Amino acid sequence: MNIPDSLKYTKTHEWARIEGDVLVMGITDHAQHELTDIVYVDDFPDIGSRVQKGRTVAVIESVKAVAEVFAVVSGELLAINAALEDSPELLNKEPYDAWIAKIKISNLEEIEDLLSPDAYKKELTA
Amino acid sequence: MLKQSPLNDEHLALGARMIDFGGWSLPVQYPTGIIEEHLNTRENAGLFDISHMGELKVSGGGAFDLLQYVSVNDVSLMGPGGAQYSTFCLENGTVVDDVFYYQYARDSFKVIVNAANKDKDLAWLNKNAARFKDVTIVDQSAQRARVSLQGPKAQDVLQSLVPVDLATVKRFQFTETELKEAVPAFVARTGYTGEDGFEISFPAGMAKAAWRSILGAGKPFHLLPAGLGARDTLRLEACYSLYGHEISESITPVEAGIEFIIKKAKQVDYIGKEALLNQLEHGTGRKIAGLKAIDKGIMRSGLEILDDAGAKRVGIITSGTFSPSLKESIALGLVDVDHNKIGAVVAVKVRDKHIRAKIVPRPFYAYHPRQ
Repeated sequence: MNIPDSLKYTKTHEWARIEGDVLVMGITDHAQHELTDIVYVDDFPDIGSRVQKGRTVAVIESVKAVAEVFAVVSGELLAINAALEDSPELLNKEPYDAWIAKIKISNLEEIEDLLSPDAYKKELTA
Repeated sequence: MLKQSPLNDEHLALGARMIDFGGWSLPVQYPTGIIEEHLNTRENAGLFDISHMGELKVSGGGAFDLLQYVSVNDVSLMGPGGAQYSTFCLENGTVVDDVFYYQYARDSFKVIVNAANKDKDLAWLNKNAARFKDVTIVDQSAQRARVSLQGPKAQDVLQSLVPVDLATVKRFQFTETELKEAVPAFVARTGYTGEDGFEISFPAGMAKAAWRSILGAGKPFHLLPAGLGARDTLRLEACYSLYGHEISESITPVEAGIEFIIKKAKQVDYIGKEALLNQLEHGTGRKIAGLKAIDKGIMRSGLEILDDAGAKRVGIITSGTFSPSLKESIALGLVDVDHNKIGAVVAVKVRDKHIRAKIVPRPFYAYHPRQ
C-alpha cells in the first residue's frame, strides 16, 4: 500500500497536504482499494461555506460501496476538484494526485491531530 | 469458517479480493477490477468460479414427474441434451429457488441451484419426491467444481481444449466431453451474463488443472478471470433475476417479469400453478421495472421508490448498480403498476435526498449471440 512520506493522514483514510494556511485533502490508496471502482463523487457543500472537522465534505460511490469523506480540518471550503465530476476513476488511479477538497484552515492546532505516515501505517496494520 | 471453492488457492495466487458470499469465501474481483472484468467479458471473455452453486442429480423412473410437479416451466419441452431455466414455487406462486435443468434422459437430470438455497431445495425435492415412485436425489456439489466461461470469445477458448465441435452445442444445450489432460467435463451453452458462453462442471479434484488449462487456452483471446462483482453487474445489465432480490419467497415470477417460464399449455399439475395462472390472467399489483437514474447516484437494493413528486411510496429497488457498459446508473425495482409505465419518472430515496429516475424497457443489455 502506497503511503507517501510527504503527507499527513487520518484514521478515516483521508490524506492531507498543508500549503501555508490551505489544506489539500483526498482519500488514501488504502481507501480507494477498499472501495473498488469509484463511479461518482458527489454531495459537496457549497464553495465558500464553512466545513467542520469530521463532517462530510463528499460522498463517494463505487460499484460495490458508498463512503463518506470527512473534512480533515475546520475552515472555509475553497475548492473542490472539478475533474472528479467526469473522471471519478482518478481516485482509483492516482489517489494522491486526485485531490478532493481544499480548505482554508481556521485553526492551525487541528493539524496537530493528523497522523504521520508511520502512525497511519500502524493504523492499517493494527 | 467460510466454505472454500476447490479453486481457492488459484484465486489467492491471482491476487483476488475474497469476500463472504453466503458463507463462501469467493473472489469479488481480481486486481483487474470489476469494471475492467465486466467490459472484458463483453468484449473478449471472462472466467468465473461458480463452484459455490449447488449441483444435484435427480434420477429414476419418477424423476421427470417429480420435476414437472415442482417446476413452473414445462420440463417436457427440454428433451435429452437440453437445458431449461425454471423456478420452484410455493402454492401461492412465490419462489423457493430459481434453477437450471439439464436433461440426460427422461430418468436423469442435473439441477443447478443457488448456493444459499441448496439445503432448502434438497428438502423441498425430497419432501415432494414422496408422491412419486423411484426417485433418487444426490447432492454432487462438493464432489464437483463449476466454472462459467462467458463472452464472444468463449467458444474459441474452449474449442482449443475439447474434441467435440462446440458449434453443434446450441444455446440451452449441453454435452459431456473431455478437457485437456483427460478432465471429464460437462459443458453447457448457458450463462448469466448476456453473452454467449459455457458453464462447465468437472470433478473437484481436477479443478485446478481445468482452471489453469482454460486460462492458458484463453491467453491469445484475452480471457481474464472475473469475480462476483462483474458477475453481478453483467447479470443486472442483462436483467437476469438474482434470488433474494428480484425473486424470493415473497415475490412471484409474474411480478419479477420472468413469466416466460410459465407455460399455459402445461397440462399437468404443479405447485403454484393456480396462483400463477391467475396472476397471468389478472395481473399483479406490482411488477418489475427497469430504471435509469437521471440524477447522480446509485440506486441500491432496498431503497424506496417514490412517485414523481417524491410524496408517495410506489415501490422498492431490488438491485442497482453503475452499468459499466452503458456508463449509467441502472436498477431493477418492484413498482406499483399504476406508476409502472415506460417513460414515467419516479424518485428514489438515496441517503437524505431524492434522485430522479426514468422507467425504461428491460433488458438494459440484450443477449448477444455468437456472431
